[in-house]
Amino acid sequence: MNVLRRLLGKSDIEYSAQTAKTRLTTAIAQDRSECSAATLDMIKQTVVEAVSKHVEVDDECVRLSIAREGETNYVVANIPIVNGRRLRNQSRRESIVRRGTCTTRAVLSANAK
Amino acid sequence: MAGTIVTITSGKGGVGKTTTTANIGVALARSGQRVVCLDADIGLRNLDVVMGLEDRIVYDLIDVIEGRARLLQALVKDKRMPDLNLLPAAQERDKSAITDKQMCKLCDDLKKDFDWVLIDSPAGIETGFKNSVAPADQIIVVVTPEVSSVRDADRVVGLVEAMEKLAPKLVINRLRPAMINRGEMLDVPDILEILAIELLGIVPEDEAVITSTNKGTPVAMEDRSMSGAAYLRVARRMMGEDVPIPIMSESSGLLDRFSRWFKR
Repeated sequence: MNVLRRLLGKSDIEYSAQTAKTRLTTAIAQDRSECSAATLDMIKQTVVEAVSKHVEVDDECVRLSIAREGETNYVVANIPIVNGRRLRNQSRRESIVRRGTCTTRAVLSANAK
Repeated sequence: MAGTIVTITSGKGGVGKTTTTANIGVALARSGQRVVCLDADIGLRNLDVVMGLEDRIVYDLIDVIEGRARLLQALVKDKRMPDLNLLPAAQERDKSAITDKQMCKLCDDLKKDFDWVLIDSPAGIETGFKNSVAPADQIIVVVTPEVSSVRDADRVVGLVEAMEKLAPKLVINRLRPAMINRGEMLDVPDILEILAIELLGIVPEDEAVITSTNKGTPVAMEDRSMSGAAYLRVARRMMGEDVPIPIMSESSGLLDRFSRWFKR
């Protein structure tokens, strides 16, 4: 952002203009996608149901959002799956509590134009 | 050759549509262009007051549309600049009083005798906005470097494109270079990246705009202010001249001057 400020060690401050730009980009991506919170919720339920048919998911930690890359909006789903495989010396209980780190990225492009 | 109809709109209120319409009108008239500034903000008219012509109104655009007055009777000629005219809005009615077809017919009539018809659109995206955009050959979107203004402008750009109009051009108003240098205001490249439309001009924040409205003398009439100079450049670009957009800066500390150097 600002080279000199970075050099002088001021880079850890997030300037409010940068925050504004990030927030605006997200808000506009949502506006343009015409994807309301209710719609996103329905998509989330559908996606979780579909993925659950194949792997066990941690449905409390599922997160959906709209992101924008270039000209296209994406529905991004982060779906933690429960890691079924046990580590050596780990009890079954422990292996379920220790959530898997895989995420399944469901990408559905919406018309952004 | 028929004139050009330009609608100045924004979505968000209070960002400078009326000021921009008045000053672009003045700037074009200074170059000898025949201009009508049309106030489409029925019920909340302000273009008359900003132009300093509020005491000369006899008829308004609804009187013309409804046949109570001829166009020439309603047009207020600016005595300071004879090429500049105002067609005022009605104050007693509201925006549902006319249709887009009536606006288009009115503007087609105006086009015959004037080089530029500048329509000051009301805020919002409802009837008043739609009526203002319907006759437009060109559209200018005015934005300030603030989150809510840019978000609303994006919506307006989308609506205009859906109405199959030419892509609008952007005027960024009330820019504060010192705040940009401190990283506390959205910068021009950020706004352009988000809205993705062509930049027509940048007008800096300027107290002269307030005093000029107090007096009823738009800043572009006098050669004393930064904002006036910016509007004059916008007018020249509208007439097809290639005028570069100057780098806006305010004198600030050494650190800021250095960092600006790095940025370029």
